[in-house]
Amino acid sequence: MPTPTYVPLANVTLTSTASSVYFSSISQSYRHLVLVVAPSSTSDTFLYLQMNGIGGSSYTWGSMMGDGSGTYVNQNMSTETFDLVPNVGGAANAICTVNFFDYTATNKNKAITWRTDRPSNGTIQGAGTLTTTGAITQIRVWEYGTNVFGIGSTFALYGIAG
Amino acid sequence: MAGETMALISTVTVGAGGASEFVFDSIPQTYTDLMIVHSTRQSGGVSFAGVNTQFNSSATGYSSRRLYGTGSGTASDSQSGNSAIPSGDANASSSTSNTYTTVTMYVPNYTGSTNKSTSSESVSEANATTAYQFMVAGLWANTAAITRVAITSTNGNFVQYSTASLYGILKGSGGATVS
Repeated sequence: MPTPTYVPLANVTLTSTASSVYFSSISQSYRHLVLVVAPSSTSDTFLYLQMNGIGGSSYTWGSMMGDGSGTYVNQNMSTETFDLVPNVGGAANAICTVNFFDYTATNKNKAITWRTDRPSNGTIQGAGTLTTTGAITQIRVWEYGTNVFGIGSTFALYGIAG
Repeated sequence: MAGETMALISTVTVGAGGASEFVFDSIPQTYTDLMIVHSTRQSGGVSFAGVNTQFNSSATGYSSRRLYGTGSGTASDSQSGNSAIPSGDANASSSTSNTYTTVTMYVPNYTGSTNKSTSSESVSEANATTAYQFMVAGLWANTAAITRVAITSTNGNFVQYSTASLYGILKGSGGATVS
C-alpha cells in the first residue's frame, strides 16, 4: 500500500493581525517538510523564519532575484534568521514555499531552500543552513519589530514521507 | 490520523494529432491550492516557443516578473496587460529531438476572493548552447475563484506525448499558534 505523503500537519488563516506564527511540536514521522506562506495584501515588510527558537548567529543564507529589470544576489552569513523576502519591498501578496530537508536528522546541520514570488516586485530563489544538528521541532515565521502579517494571511505545513 | 492531501484531479496526454491547448474545466472547489505540472513540446519551426496559462477564459488582468537563465547568461523581465501568464519558453521542433519542457505552477487559495498570485518554474533543456530555466511570479488580478485552467501553445500545437496534470492540495487545520 502506498505511503501517505504531502500530509497536512498544520494550517492557520489569520483572523487578526499577528507578528509571529509558530508551528510547534512538529511530528517527527516524516523525512522532509514543506511550508507554504501567503501573506495578505495588508501585511508589512518582512518575512523571517527561525527554527527551534534559535537566534544569535546560527543562520547563513544566499538568494538570487529578478525584479523585472535586473538580477541580484544576496548573502548573509552567521545571522539571526532566514530572510525570505530580501529586496522585494515586503511580504504583502507574496507566495513563499520553503522546503526543509531531513529535518529530523541529528547528524547534520539543517538545510532549507525557498521560493518567494511577489508579482509586483520580483521572484526569488534562496537556500540556507541553520547550524544545529538537533531535529527540528518548531518553526517560527515572523515579522520584525512592530510589523505584522495582515488578516487573511495563510500559513500551511506539510509532511513529506521518505 | 492525517491522510494524503495532494490529489490528482485530472491528467491529459496528447495523441498523434497534436493539441493547441490543455483545458481543465469545472475544477472542484473543494481544495485549498492547485498545482499544475506539464511536460510539453510544440510543433512550430523554432527551437523554443512560449507557453501560456490562462484562468477562467479571462484574457485580462495578467502580469508577471521573471528571472531566467539562457545557458550563457541571466536576465529578468516584467510584463503587464497580458492575456495570460507566460510560463517560460518550451521546446519546439527545431530543438533537440524527443526533449520536452517541464513546468510546475503553484496557485495558493484558488477558491478565495482575492487576486490570484502564482509561482512557477520551468526547464527547457537542449543539447545546445541555448537552454532555458525560468522562475515566474505571476498575477491574475481577478477576485473570482478559479474554475478553469487553460495551457496554450504559441507556435503550432503541442505534439504527441505532451502531458498536463492538475493536482488539488488540501490544507490541514489547527496545529499553529499566533502571537
